[in-house]
Amino acid sequence: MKHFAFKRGGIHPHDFKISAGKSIVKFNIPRTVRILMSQHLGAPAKALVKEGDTVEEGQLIAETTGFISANIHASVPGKVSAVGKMDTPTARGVEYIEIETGGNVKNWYAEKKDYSKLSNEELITMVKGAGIVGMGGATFPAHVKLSPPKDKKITTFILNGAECEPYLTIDHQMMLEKTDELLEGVNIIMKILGAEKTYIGIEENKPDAIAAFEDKIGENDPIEVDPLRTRYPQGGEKQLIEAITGLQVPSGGLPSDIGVVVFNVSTVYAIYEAIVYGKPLIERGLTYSGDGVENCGNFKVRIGTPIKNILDEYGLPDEYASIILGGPMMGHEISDTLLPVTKGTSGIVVLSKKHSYEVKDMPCIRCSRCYMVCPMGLEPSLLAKLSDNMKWEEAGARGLMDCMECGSCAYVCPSTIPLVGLMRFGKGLWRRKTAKK
Amino acid sequence: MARVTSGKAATAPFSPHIHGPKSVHSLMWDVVIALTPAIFASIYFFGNNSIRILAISIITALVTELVMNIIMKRRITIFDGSAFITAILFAFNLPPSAPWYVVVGGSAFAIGIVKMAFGGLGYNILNPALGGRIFVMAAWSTAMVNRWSPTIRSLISRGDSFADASQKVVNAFPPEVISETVFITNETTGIISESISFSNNVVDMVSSASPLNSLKDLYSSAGVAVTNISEGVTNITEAIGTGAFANMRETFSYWDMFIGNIPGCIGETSALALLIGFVYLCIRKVIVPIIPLVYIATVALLAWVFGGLPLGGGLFSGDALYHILSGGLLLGAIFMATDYVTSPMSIKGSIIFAMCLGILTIIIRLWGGYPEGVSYSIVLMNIFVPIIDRYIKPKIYGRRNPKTEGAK
Repeated sequence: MKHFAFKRGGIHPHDFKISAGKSIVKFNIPRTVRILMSQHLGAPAKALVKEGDTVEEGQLIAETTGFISANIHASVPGKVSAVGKMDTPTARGVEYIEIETGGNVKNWYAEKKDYSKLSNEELITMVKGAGIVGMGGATFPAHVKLSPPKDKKITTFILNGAECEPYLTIDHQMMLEKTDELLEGVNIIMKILGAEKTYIGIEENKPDAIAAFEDKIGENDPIEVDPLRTRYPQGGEKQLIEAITGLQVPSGGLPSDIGVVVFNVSTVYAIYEAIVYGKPLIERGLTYSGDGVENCGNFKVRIGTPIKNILDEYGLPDEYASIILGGPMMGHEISDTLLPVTKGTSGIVVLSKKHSYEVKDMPCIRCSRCYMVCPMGLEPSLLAKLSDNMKWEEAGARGLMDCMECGSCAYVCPSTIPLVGLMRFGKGLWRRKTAKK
Repeated sequence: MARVTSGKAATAPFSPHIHGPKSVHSLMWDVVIALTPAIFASIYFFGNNSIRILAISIITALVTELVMNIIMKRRITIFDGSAFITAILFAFNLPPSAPWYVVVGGSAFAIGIVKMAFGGLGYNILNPALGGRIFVMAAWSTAMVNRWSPTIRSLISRGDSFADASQKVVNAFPPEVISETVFITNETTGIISESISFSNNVVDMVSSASPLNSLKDLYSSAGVAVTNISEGVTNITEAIGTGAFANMRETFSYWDMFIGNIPGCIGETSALALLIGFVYLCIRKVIVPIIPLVYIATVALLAWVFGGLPLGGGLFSGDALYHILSGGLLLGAIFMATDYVTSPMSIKGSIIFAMCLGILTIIIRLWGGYPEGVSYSIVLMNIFVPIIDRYIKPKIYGRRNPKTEGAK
């Protein structure tokens, strides 16, 4: 079998995919949900409802405020009980709409719509209307990716089924359970983009998912399954593109610059549901897993469900070190379990003391491990040092803004220097300073 | 960097939340483990002297580090393993007859000045062990350069006990004698004549030279570009391939050189023990083998091409294997050129660094004023590391790539 892999760097964390093979269970509709107005990259959405309003399931409750922004829908039927602001791990004072559940739940899957006669513009409008964003964690609005500038011809679509983060298995399970739906989603996307070829990239540690797609793909279909070498961050967009096409996305550019668009499994499934059933993005699959989590598994959860509900239902281990939203490599630690599930929450991971670590007060010993593992070819220890000294200009010149915060450098750093935290700080500085000019 | 947890960046959210298996401590102790075969080899070949030198060196290093920690009001760092490594490597660079004050002085200088005064682990510019070696070579040059004892193995094989043999070997080289070159030469040849048969004409040439000349000059003026007092009378790298010392090479077979049964510094003679450590370091992924391999390959290539020239031979007549197995090349290439702190960060930089090391080593060995070039080469290249790191950078993904230029 041919193996595909990106060219430089990468690490091999233990994958701990203990929830693999557990079928996706629908999680109960919670009594209240809190829906954040900013759960996507770009401008926050503008609330359209106020306290006391009654909303239907799937009703638009907040709309886009710019090209890079996303619609937000009521994930449950009920009454708006509060509109307020809360802190999230990534931002302060994010607006939210709280809905108290009540009323009838819709059946979205009653009838399959015929979309074959719709134009590309109409299809993109449907995706935009459904508020779909990249659900792997970056939460880039999907309609933006689907409408590249006119001068950029998209030739290749890549379905990202790498799922290289340890613990997470939801995309894996989706590929097994929703193979047909995903392939239909792929066809819709290829039609919108006018792409000639689709590659499905799946890490080799998921042979059943590779086989599932290979069974369903006809010989003449312009779709190819590419087994990827299991290596983190294989699911990083730029790494995946390099592994499969051999091309590199120009620094500071977008994949569309080289004629490629990438969506991950959950996103393609959401696009499928939006086009075929007219269902907006009101629920998503996620993995609840971690050290000592006995009832780990894959769940379909309404957007806005408090994390606490899931932890209460499936049990938190007696002893744990941290709860992570997302995967352990790129996710965020949370201290407040009342935080809601968002469009970008691909998992909830509980880490034991054994698997988490403390930042020790050790100097950089220049072992150059971070240089070796950086998949972007950067100099993490140097960039972190420059960032720490607020030399954002020099750091920017040496590629700071190319860092995608995959965490490979900090994972291998024997001195446990928080390289990603430092570079994130430097990137923030760079953005603030360059925006002023 | 060390202040980050309480500094400006402390507010930045942390990720990743899991960490790989390596820590500074585990890496350092892995290096100590990799050095143990060489420690055993040094005890096997040089007896109690090795134990004495290693013990003095380690105790001095730890005490110095502790004192510096206290003076500099820093955290106590003596157990991170790096002082052990420096102490062992420094001891490895001493002759078995080194007096205690040389060991103490060098070890204290290595830790106190070369490492701690520059900020401790991670901030030193030179490799501390080599800094210490160069310091003692300058301060006690006679003790360092002129006194070489053979291994104790020949004495043991004739029935001496381990302790007696150790003692005899050192007593044969009392410090007072050293400035008398002729004396040493005679003494040395006398001692080792049991195991080596110097050809008569060489001994004559040597003893007839001026006692004020250094031995290297002496050999040179005698028309044999040898040398190497510091490598031991037998460890005459440059003598290879030419007539005068041909028979010596036969006596000190490649096998003796490989297992370490030759005179030299206590830790550098056994290629076998050093290579075991090298394999361990590579398996445990403590080091990437690029620097040692490129360094040794460069030395081998240049030794083969130019090694014959100073001896009157032509190009391509040098003995590459002899150059690899003699002197401190393996010790330096495996354990000292790979020192994290004082080697370049990028792979390309490491290759350039290692090639320059090889070139410098050969230049010093063949034409330089010193018999051995490894330690000076490494220290010299240590100084260039910041420059290498400044200009040799890894290639950033998606930049200056012809494949993507068209699409821009």
